[in-house]
Amino acid sequence: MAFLNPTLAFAALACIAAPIIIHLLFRRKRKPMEWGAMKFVLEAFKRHRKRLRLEQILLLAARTLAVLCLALAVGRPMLAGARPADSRRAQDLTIVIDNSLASQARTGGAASESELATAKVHAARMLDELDSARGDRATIITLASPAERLLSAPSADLAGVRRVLDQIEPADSGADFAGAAALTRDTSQGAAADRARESTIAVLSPLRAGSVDLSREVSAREGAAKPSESDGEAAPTLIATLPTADNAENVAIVSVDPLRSMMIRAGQDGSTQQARVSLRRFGEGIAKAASVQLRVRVTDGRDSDDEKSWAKTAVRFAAGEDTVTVLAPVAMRAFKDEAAPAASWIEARIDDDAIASDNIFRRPWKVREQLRIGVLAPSQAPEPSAGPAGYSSADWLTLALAPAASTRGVKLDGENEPIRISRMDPARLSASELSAIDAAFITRPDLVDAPSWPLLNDFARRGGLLVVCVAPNEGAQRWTDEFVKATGIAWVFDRESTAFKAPNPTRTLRGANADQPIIAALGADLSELIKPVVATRLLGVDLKGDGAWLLRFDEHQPMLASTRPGGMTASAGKGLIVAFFVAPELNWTNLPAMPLMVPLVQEIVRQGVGLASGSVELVAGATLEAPDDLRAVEPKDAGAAGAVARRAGLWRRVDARGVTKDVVAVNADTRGSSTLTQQKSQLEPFLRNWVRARDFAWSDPTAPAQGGNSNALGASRHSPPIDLPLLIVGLCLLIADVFFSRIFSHATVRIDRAEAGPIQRSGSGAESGESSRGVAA
Amino acid sequence: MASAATEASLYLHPQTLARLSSFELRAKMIVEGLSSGQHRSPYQGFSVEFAQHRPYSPGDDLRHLDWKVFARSDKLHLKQYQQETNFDLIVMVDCSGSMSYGSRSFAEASGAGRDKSPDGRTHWSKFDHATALAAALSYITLRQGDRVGLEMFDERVRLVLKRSSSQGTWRQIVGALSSHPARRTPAPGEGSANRSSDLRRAIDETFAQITNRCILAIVSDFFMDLDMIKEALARTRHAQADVMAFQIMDRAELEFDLKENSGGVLLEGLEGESMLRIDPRAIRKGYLEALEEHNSKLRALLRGMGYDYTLVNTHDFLGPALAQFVSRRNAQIKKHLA
Repeated sequence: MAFLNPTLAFAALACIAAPIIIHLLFRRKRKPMEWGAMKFVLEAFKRHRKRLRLEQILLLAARTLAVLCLALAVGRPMLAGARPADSRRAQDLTIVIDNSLASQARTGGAASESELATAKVHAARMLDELDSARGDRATIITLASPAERLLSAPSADLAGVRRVLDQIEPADSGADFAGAAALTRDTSQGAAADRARESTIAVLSPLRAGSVDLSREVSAREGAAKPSESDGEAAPTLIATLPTADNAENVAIVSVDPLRSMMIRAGQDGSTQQARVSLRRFGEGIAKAASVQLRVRVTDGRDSDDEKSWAKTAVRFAAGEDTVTVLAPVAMRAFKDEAAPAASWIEARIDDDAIASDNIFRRPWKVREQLRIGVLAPSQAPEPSAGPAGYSSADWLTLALAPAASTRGVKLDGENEPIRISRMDPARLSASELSAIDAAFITRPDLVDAPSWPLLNDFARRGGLLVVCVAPNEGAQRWTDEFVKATGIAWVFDRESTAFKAPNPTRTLRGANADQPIIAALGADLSELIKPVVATRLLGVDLKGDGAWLLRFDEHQPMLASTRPGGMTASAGKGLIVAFFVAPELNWTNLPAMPLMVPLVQEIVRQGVGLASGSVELVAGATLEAPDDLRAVEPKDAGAAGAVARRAGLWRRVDARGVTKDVVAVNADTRGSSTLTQQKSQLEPFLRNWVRARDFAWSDPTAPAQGGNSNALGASRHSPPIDLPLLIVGLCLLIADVFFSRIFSHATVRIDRAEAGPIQRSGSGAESGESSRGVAA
Repeated sequence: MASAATEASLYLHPQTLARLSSFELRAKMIVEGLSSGQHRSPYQGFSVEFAQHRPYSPGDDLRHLDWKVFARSDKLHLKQYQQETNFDLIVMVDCSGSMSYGSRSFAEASGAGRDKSPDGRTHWSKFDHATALAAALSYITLRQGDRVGLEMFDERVRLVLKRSSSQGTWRQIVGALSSHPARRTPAPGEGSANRSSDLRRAIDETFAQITNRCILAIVSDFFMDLDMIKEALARTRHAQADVMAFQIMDRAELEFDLKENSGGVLLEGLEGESMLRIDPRAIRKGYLEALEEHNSKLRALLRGMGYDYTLVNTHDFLGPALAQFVSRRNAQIKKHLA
């Protein structure tokens, strides 16, 4: 314990001896008083000895404690670890303010202040306690991922720091404690270099599970080392606001996955789309059943927000259930009678709750008038006399792409068809030709010359769908070298195709991977559709873990597989490559004649093009590519996207001419949606190790300022002298002492003769009447 | 008698002394005197006061035949009379250590208006008051022609003055009392200080020396064990003696209104008790309760045996208290005889 006035304190503490000395002085030997009736004194004393001793002890204790309290109050003591506010060194204060998604929680309804606003007020009070004249400086770090230092260095311009603080906006990303720790380290080290300064880090956060997920931070806690003795001075002091105890119910939209990756508008009314929507709820109310109204629509931003523009679904959480996934209808009212928009997206909403930002989820979703397919094959017509046996791979695929028409005499490139097919010469490919199509079916890869493979790879990487079929020849498949080299995938092909011989001249399809999005729409029908499909020849391939098989004969031999250009291990990019390892011709397989053929090819095209073109869907806190090309769509006041998207929203990516190329959706990081409150005891070890703090103290952000002087910064560390409570206790003890003295000194036992009268009367007074007569006589 | 009066004036106020002339102390019971007097004798003779008849037996003195009875009943009966005699008063004064306590100033209490006692004390002790009371009782008794003896006792009988009705008896009694060193710090070999009282032993020693029935006037503060008192009184009852108990107490002892000093009062007992520091107000209630209990039992014990009990406060003048006692006693005797 430290004292503000140590000298006075020790002098006053010496006063404790006063009651004892007085007690001893009064007990000193003094001239005794002779007393005759000692017999009764001793009797009374023996009878009350214990009570008298207890009274004396109580009195002595009360007096000694009273003097002790008053002495301590005079010395103005402070709690352990505290330092007097007016004797500290110049201070570098780093305010780490939580503006992450969790800090947007409003426990008192939409009109109430968010926890970020409370934290800002608390931070302002801390700044008010600094004194630039003494050399105090401050800086601010925002905790929303990625953590950001708003001032390059601690500033002595505290008014300027205050202005920066006022401009802090809430973000929709999670809290980045690790990043903030790295940023604070610089400030602390700067202060440590200057022995005359001390470093203080103030963490202003509600510390809900959305901000600090201790289960995720376990490694950080275990890995952090305690500050060593040598760097004890350099280690900063950490002040953290008390974790909020306000319960808040929050539901977040975690994901929205449309069943179709895109919509081909031609020939459809646009009213039957569905999306798989996952919702998760947080808070203490999970134990009870609850219901949330979900609204989903596809929009291009031109829709009004009226009720009719939404498809509504009631989502029910059972008691104890925190996550629900529903198949919700998607309203597409806006596109019934209009041309497909340049940019559109699925938007899902739920009613507002504690955190509003995670109640909206946007996902780019393309609406296309028709798909343009290029079939790379020699433009030679099949022999009419040969019949289906003479159909090439290109013929079968074309038939599957346009099943309503025959392969001959049909207008394959009709404007009103959902799929527009064009034949392309694989030997004379050009970039301009490829830019006009959405998908390229390479049925004769052996005819593609070496320079064309890079073109095809570029096509895929720009978001095109590349479907490659094995060359129908029986010889070596040399094209595979160029194909693998150009696309950068890890597949290893056999040099030649293999024909199955007796006694098992055919192989039957045994597996279909319905989990893959590209064929997921076929669902449970796949298992039935693949049964009759057999092959007599195939090209062996080892996928090497790159990509995914879609159909296969056995565990080691796929028939159909997909991957991304550059391989699945490469950075996420656009484009999709689908490969048939059996040529879709009847002398290789019966697939072209089986019911599986048409739905399989249709799904590959319809889902594949959408998957290949990709949708830029990011989580708040992610880095944006070419942010200067982005224009805010939703919310309209989102402004420039910036290099890092900390706010949820929707942006259009435009080219140099201002034409929309695609849309970028940024959704709230639902890891920050948890509103669960956490205990101090759980948080303290993490926080202590977070910045390897030398001292740690909690600060109450809701505590009102006392006497016009806030104590936000020194809530514990620069704790006020506890003289007032001691003074009160001392005075109470003095009052108790007076009370005890009055009781124990038996002052209430009045010495009056009337009390002693009966004794006198018992002998003589009782007979006084006769006495007076006797005397008179 | 003149020098005795001078000494007695230290203790008895002249007005009190004058009033004593009018007091008549009578024996409550039948005493065995040696000469005729105003007190009844157990020996039935032929004196003045008729007692009873008894049948005539041959050899009886015919002078005592009641002829009137013979005339009426034709039977011979003798008249018997109560023989009146004098009594012996033995004044037993407690000279134990506790009797030396007193809070009244000597000048106020002394009949002579002296500031100090002959031994230099400025306070009026209980022994001083006992001296005055004994002197008064002796004076009354001697005036009636009865015999008075004096005994002073503490743990044992310290002084005995034989019973006498002679003229010098009172002087001897007053002289003995006034000169007895019942003080806190007596000279070596003199004193009775720091000695408690043993009434039982004193009574035993007293009755070892007398054979006739007498009146005992016990003047003491009775700060002794009640069982011991009970045994002593049983002895007197066995000896068919009358007892007049005078409990001498100082007003301070009755009220216990000691001035409180910070840190309490250090009390030192006068009968060898250890010193004790007390807060007077803290134990006053207990003290008064203990005192009241003791005195109540003492009073009940004495009155249960038919003896007189009188509490005498040293701060009160003796005359009224004595007058009250004498009148009450005489009234009781009259009532008993009626």
